[in-house]
Amino acid sequence: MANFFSSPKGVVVAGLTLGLGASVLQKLGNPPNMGLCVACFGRDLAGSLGLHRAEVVQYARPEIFGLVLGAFVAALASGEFKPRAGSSPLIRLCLGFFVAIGALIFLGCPWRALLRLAGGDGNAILGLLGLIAGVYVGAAFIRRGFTLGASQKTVAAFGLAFVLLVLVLLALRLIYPPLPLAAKNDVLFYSLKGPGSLRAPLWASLSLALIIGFVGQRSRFCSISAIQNVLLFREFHFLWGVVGFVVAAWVANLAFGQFHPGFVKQPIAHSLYFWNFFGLAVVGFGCSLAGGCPLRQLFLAGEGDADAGVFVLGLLFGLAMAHNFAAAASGDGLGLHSQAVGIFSLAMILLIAIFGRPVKPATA
Amino acid sequence: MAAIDARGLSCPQPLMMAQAALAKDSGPVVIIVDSESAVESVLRVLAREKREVAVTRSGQETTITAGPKSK
Repeated sequence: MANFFSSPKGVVVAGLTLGLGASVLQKLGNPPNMGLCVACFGRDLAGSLGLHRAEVVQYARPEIFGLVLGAFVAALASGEFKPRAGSSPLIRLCLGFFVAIGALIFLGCPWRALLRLAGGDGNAILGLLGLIAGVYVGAAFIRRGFTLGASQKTVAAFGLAFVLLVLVLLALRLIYPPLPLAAKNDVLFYSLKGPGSLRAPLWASLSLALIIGFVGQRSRFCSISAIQNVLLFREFHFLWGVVGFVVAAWVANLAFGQFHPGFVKQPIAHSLYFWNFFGLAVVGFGCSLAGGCPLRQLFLAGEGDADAGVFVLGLLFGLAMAHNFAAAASGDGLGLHSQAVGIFSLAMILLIAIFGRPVKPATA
Repeated sequence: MAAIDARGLSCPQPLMMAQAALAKDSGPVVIIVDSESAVESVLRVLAREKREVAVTRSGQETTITAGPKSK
């Protein structure tokens, strides 16, 4: 069966769908230029679980669950659910962690960078240049032979583990919804102010994310691949999808009055040019080694890739620690330890890149 | 005939290995992958290079045989 969403037209349709969906989610209540952001939503989820206590960014975002479940449904429907595991899980966890630090120095995953661009935030340009630089360096290491090793087939139950985890979290979100004027119910934390308090309605978040997850899995949408394939293979397939994403979000933002061009006082963003570049450079470098951007890792986890699930757990852990260690930036600028933790994260990714060589076959 | 086993590898390694083999070997080159995204990306590049391609699927694995560039 031909896969429409992997065709040249299909990938653009996928981009348009994701971009429009993100803009609509913002219109329906998500934070500005944050209709869709895996780093931000992961951070909010980590906060809702109490892994960090930054009161303004705590909310069990239904989008995260919808993205994974949508990809899961798409994989099942197309016979592409393939349980697999065992490709350097601890290293992938670490990569997820360090990518999280970079993302919260910039304030967003690559997709939010594109949404910030589509919302008129000029600082996103610095971030995207950093992302390209990071992917370029990662691609150079991959060309030299960097690998995390091959994954192995595993039993269906192990491939399903991440999906089940997501279902449990979704159940918690449904059983313990936000209460009016209470920052915590029996289980979950919920922001009363700040970005964590800005939410599209549950049904909208969940259903749009399910659609985005479905289309994302079918199209193999990935911001890192989009850049990497151009750099390595002069292949523009995914880049056209990204262009579709930005155009759809930009047009929808114009229609919704969500386009405000400029560099200063952009929502949930700072104007430190170097650190915007640096943050997404860390993300680009780390994600290229891990084989996909945070959004793509959610889709892969949904189709049974347990290693991608481990990356996502590392991401959640890193997002939480970024707040606990004062490494996360904010609209006011860098956190107290952003520079130190950011440079440490970059150094660690560099070490992983240097040491990630193929294992020599045993000589008998 | 060069044979590439790219099963279980993350993106973009299957494509990179295929391309490296194709650059050295005029063909045919056999590439074994086990993810649909790898199948699609390898086929995209082969189509662009206008190579003859044979695809056989068995279970979760796909074997792509890339012929020489057609004139």
